[in-house]
Amino acid sequence: MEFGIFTIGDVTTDPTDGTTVSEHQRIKNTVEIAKKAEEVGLDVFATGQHHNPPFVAPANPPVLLANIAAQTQTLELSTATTLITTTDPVRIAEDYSYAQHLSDGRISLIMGRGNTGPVYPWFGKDIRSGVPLAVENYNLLYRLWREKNLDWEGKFRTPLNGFTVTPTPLDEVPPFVWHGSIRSPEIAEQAAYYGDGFFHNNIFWPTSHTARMVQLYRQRFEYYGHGTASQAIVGLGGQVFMRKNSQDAVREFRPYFDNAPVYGHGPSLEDFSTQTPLTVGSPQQVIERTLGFRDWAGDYQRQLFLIDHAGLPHKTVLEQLDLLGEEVIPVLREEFAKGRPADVPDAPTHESLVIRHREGRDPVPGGAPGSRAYEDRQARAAEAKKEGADQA
Amino acid sequence: MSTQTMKIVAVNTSLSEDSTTLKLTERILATAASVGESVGTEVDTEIINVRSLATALTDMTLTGFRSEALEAAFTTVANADAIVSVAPVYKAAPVGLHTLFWQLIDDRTLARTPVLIASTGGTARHSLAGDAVLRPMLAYLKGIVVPTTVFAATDDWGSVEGGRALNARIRQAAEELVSLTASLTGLGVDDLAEADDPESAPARSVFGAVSGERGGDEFDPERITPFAQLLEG
Repeated sequence: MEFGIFTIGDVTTDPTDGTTVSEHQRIKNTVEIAKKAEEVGLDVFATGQHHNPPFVAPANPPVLLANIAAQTQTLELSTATTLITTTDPVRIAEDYSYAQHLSDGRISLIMGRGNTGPVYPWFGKDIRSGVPLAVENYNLLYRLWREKNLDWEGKFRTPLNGFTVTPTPLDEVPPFVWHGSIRSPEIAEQAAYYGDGFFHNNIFWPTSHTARMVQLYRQRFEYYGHGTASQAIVGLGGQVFMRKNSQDAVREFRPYFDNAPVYGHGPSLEDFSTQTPLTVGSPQQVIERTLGFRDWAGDYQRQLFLIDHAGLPHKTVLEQLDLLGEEVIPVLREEFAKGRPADVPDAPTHESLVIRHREGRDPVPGGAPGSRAYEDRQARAAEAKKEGADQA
Repeated sequence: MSTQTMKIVAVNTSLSEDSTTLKLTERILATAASVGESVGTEVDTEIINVRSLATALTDMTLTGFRSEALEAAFTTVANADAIVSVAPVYKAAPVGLHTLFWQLIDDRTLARTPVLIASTGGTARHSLAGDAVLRPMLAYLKGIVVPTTVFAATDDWGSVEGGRALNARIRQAAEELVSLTASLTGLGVDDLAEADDPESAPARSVFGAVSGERGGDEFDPERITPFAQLLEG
């Protein structure tokens, strides 16, 4: 199981002193945060993709990820999320492939659609086609990373004739892809179809809802024959603020919560903490809360925490990383390992994916022979053939 | 086969303790139950008071986040065979808290669901407010709003004639609601006059079986649109 942090790069005024960091400073801080994440023993740093203020998450995440890759050794560099709707899949294939080479295989992606209507037309797209865009674009990306001299034609972009991505993915194994969605069953289905991972950013949602989405993905993963439901690759978000003493954590975090752009002036910190994974308290409370995720999500592979938002000072964020690295993650690693069935896979790494590829165990989109999906397809084809014969 | 009863849920926004809105809600539900009984149908009623969800509705507006209580209320509405919407009128429209509930519930929640609109207000000048504002909103949610709406002004509670007229209107609306629900859910009682004679009441079929199909559970692995179909566009 891998642990990390994810950021959306919000430039927010610190409500306690009215100061706002510059975009330049926020970007530099983000690199420091990522380096510190590796230093304290985290596995993953993930960045969002953003095209509008007040966010300085990169418009093209490989720019940031490559810079961090140059300054780290082991850290897995991910997105959360890559906008599969408004970004040309050809550029995604090329840029992430390049970053994968630079980082020696430390790149992974979480695909997302984004949810702000105005962004779509800036890139010649329409939010009403959000799901069809995600479906077609990812299908193209999937093929670009696996086929040479590709001929392709779709609804949303210029056709391709004899196109080959350069560079091709490292060791012929594309970066691992997760599909992120809050409430679109189509995306859970998409992740299952390809045998990719499914990431639910549950930070604003009650567990009852997240559990249903995860369950849907697990069932369909099994249906497509990529493994049993319990072997599906699941990632979850989380949101924490810690101090040694939980009252101190609540006192310090409350003004940031109350004024945060996303949920400020809405629910109380207490209500929000009860109803979502937000945990403000001691490291022990964060440990207990996070371990509880397994009760409804099953054994899972990736846990990302949001810690650097709402105008929190950079120094405070670095202190949060110290607490995560020293007190929280080591215990979570140990406790999550207990009782975890041997056949539940770890989070995929480039190395594990290379082995899988060489052993010919890559997932077959839509299900290989022997899967329920394959049998259903065969049955439908036989049915259609019979009907055709009857008519003739 | 789940249940043989008709489930009618009232979405009721009553703001004071001694609320005429709640009184109207209870009277409508009691009338619907008696209409159901007269045609041999058991009616199960439940009242959701939107007042208790006020903070949750504001929170959801601001953050998109649904509290468990709100989620439970939305589910109760989605699982109902019929809905009664009751709210006081403020400034020629049902109170904003009430319309907010309908604005935040999922699209298609009311597909194939008969809905009765009822309102309360100070004077009869407000009487078309429910029709004007809620009828399009509920239609957007794919609800089937019955033709008769109920409006109760202060006069209706104060005088004998007023009370009589109100009761007649409630009876009319409740009959429309119950008979429409019965025919949609497969009970087959589409002619109340005929069914008034208990002897001739047709055999019951099952409520809930059909309403379960409505909207459906989009997260049910057995009902999801297969990805191959999404790929074909």
